[in-house]
Amino acid sequence: MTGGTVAPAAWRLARRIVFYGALILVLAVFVFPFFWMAFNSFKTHEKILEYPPAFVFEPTVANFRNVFWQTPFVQYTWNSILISFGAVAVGMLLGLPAAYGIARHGHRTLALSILVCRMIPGISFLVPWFIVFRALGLIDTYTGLVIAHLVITVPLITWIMIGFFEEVPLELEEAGRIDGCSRLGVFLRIAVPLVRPGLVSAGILALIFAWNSFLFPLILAGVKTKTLPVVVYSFMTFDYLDLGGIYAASTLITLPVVVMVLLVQRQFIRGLTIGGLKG
Amino acid sequence: MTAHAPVGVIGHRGRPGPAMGLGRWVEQHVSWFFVLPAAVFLAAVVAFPVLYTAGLSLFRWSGAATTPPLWAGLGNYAEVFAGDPGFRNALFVTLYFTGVSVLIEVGLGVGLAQLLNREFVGKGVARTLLILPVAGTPVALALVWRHMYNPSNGIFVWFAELLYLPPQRWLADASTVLPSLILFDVWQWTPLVMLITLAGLVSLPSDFYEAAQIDGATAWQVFWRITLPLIRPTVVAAAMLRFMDSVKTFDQIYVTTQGGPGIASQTLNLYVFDQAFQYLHFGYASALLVVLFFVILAGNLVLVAVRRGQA
Amino acid sequence: MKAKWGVLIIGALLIAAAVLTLADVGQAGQFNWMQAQGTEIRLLALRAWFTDHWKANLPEFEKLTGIKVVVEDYPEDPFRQKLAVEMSAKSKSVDVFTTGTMREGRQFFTSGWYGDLTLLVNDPSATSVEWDKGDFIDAVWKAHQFGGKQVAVPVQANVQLLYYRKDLFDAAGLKPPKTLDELEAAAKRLHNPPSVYGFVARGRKTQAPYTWSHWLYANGGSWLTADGKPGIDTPAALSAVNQYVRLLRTYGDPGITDNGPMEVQTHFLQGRAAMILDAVSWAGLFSDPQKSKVAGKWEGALAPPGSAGVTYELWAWSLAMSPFSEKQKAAWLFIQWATSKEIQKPLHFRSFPMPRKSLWTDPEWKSKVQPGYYEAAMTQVQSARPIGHPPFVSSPEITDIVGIAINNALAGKDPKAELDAAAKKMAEVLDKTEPKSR
Repeated sequence: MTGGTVAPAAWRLARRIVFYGALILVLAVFVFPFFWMAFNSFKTHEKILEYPPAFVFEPTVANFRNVFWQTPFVQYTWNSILISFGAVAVGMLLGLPAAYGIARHGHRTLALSILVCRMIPGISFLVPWFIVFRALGLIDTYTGLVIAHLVITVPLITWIMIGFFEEVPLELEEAGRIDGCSRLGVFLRIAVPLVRPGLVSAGILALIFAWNSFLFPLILAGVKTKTLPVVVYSFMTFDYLDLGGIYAASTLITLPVVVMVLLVQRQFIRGLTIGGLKG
Repeated sequence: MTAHAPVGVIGHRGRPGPAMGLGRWVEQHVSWFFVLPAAVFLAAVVAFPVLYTAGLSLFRWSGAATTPPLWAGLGNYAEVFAGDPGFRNALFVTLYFTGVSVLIEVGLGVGLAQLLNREFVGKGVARTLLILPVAGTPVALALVWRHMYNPSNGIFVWFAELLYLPPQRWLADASTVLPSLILFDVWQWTPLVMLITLAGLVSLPSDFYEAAQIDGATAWQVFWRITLPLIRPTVVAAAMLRFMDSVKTFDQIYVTTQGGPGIASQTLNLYVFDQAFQYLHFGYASALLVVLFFVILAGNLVLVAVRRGQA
Repeated sequence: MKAKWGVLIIGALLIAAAVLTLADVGQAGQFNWMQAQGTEIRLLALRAWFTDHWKANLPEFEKLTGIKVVVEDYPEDPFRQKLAVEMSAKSKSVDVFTTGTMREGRQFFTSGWYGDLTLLVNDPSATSVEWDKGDFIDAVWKAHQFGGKQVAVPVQANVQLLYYRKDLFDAAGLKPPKTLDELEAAAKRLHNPPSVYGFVARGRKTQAPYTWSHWLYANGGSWLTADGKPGIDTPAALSAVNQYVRLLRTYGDPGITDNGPMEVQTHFLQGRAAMILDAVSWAGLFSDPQKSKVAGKWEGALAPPGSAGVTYELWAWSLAMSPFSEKQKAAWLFIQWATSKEIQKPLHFRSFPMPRKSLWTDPEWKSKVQPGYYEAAMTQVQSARPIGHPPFVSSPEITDIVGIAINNALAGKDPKAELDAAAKKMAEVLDKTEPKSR
């Protein structure tokens, strides 16, 4: 080894300190804006505009009250939940088999085509979809919005899961075939359980993207199905900028998806550390 | 191994049986059944918009109810490439914004993944917290960052003061707006690259590391010579994902600067938005969308080549 | 016994007769608000105080007319986007929508997106007499006519006047500026960063031209020269830009290139601006002690004239009807109701200026607002020219072209070069989009 004069234990301790210091700094950077967002929601509009920024003040819940007064917030939260979970669930139904099929049998062009769907800028969809959805009576319906969001979730899920399915050893599948399993059976009973960690991460990501989408619900949703991201923007009225309202609404809107992700995150980590495919 | 395989397909002692002909056809094509639902669905939902946009790009139309679209042939495209400084600016802004953000995100993401790929107290908490920026709603976060960047009372002004740095105008100045937006983007998406890379790192067999350590390699050498090449496909995959999304970035810039000051942060996507919904040049906007799509496609093909070009 | 019954019956008959007669009398002079009873209409609106006011009073409307109104409101940019998508798809789903004819009037009219209200307005069976068409301020009313047709009904009459900090002016012994030069001098005296900026105004790409146009006219410029060429590279326009840029760069806040109306408003509300030139509708906000740090400390004055005099401009949001709507009668009833005196009065009293003469001359309102503000607002509104911001079909695009030039000049680039480039671009756009029969 390097044979220095510093005692190895002290050296290790110093490295430990540096590591944890760096870690805390990194975490602080990534978490701070959320803290600031939640923190400011308890300030009045004037307090928010103060400079230097106030860290000590009298908290108020008026902003949160306003959010619930001014908008049917619970309804919108429910809409967001219904639409994003729906888009992920159906996305799994469509995307998992597709990923498996591509992983096992090539279909490179098809894979690329599905990926290409993700490359199309969202704006291209707005007018043509509006025309078609309008004709089919799908505007302001949950069905219509789930269909629209599938364009977000299906390519994502497919693309992520291809890699995971490729990792599933062929021998296991052959064994299943010999045991009398049909192709579908092999898929459902062998392949899918083995890619569970991938499933969770693909599912989380798809959920996040579907939940946070702004443009599609803006154009395709109406009074009944409006989702949360559209609502937060509504706090910027033409006459007055209600910063308190914006902060409170932002906090309330970010909260559900953050909580959901945090809840599932443990599964995700467990899946990774168990790593059923290692060695 | 006891097996009661259907005789027709596999036959006795593993040799092909009589039903192999039909069986083989089904075998070979059953994979299509897996892929069909997704493919058909996407084709149905995506086909019309694609055709509509491509078709409309050949016309001039202002959404008018009274005048029908005017045939323009490739006129819109000619204008895009030959005479539109707005397009050139938008292309430059897009490439700059995307290029720099993705590069930093990949670099930082891989570094962070490496940092976190070890046992330490609070590992679960750390990984969980790092997902927050990715999970947050971009529109909401953009509003918060917009205020943080406020040159009169935003908290970044305060940070700068604390660190004795000269005051910046952040989003309000054409020379600092893109770096400010890049900073926001990097903050939001580096954890995603980190997570994907981490998944790749975790699945690496540990015997490589042990062997390397026995050989006396330093941590840096191990990283550079062994780890990096092994996780290259994962990293490129993350880069592709980020590239595609970064070029399409809309919500964040729309909420913070709307493309300003002036047109300093007007990416192609925002330029299209203005052309379509503010000026009502639907035909021209469609042509721009087609061009934007090919930009994204080209970038991705480059990355795919990079991914394939390694052993 | 029989007599008692008799009395009761006759009494009942008399009462019934009286009721029926009175009802009849009532009906004879009544406007039939129930014409479109049972319909449901959809209003796509800008998120604003007037929309909130309508939403709050919808139950009353429903009781009056039996029409159900579904309101969808959004902030300006998403609103325009949604409206553009729906109208270009000729959707029947929008019945009524808010519109800013100064900006998109010609554009929408040329695209056939406005329903024709002319006949409805003049038809006594469709329009109640009390609605009083003549009560609308002339300039505002005419601003909503294109090609001889009435396309919308104004919901407000917004002008940009000068707001100044009376307390700061008094302390410095200054009088409100009567010319643009005096304005600059006052800004210089009071500029004291970072607690107070001398003059704050809009600088963002799409917003700057709304305020800057005041300087354009004050220097004798105009959007088009006499021979129909773009007027923004003329010496008058150049002086206008030079003055505006100099004012803001020297006496403005650090974020001038990013300032939209909200930023200007916030600066004044927080007491950080000595003067601003902006929407007359903000007075109520400035006087609200809950939201404003300058309540009681400000006054209003006429937007000062420049070397070539002054032209006051008008901005008005209004209500229009979609030509694709299948419920036009109901839509028109709503528009009438929303722009009626009763509905507009509370808004006006919050200093959200309505386009009705009766409200402006209402003594109760006059007693509630500052005298200087009242004079300035009255003068400007009554003599405002609804020119269009600017007066072209592709107004939004030209606004952006000029806005970019101003924005770049604010950032330090050469104004002349910017204006020349903008004029060139403007000529191209005009050539492509203006109707040839001019």
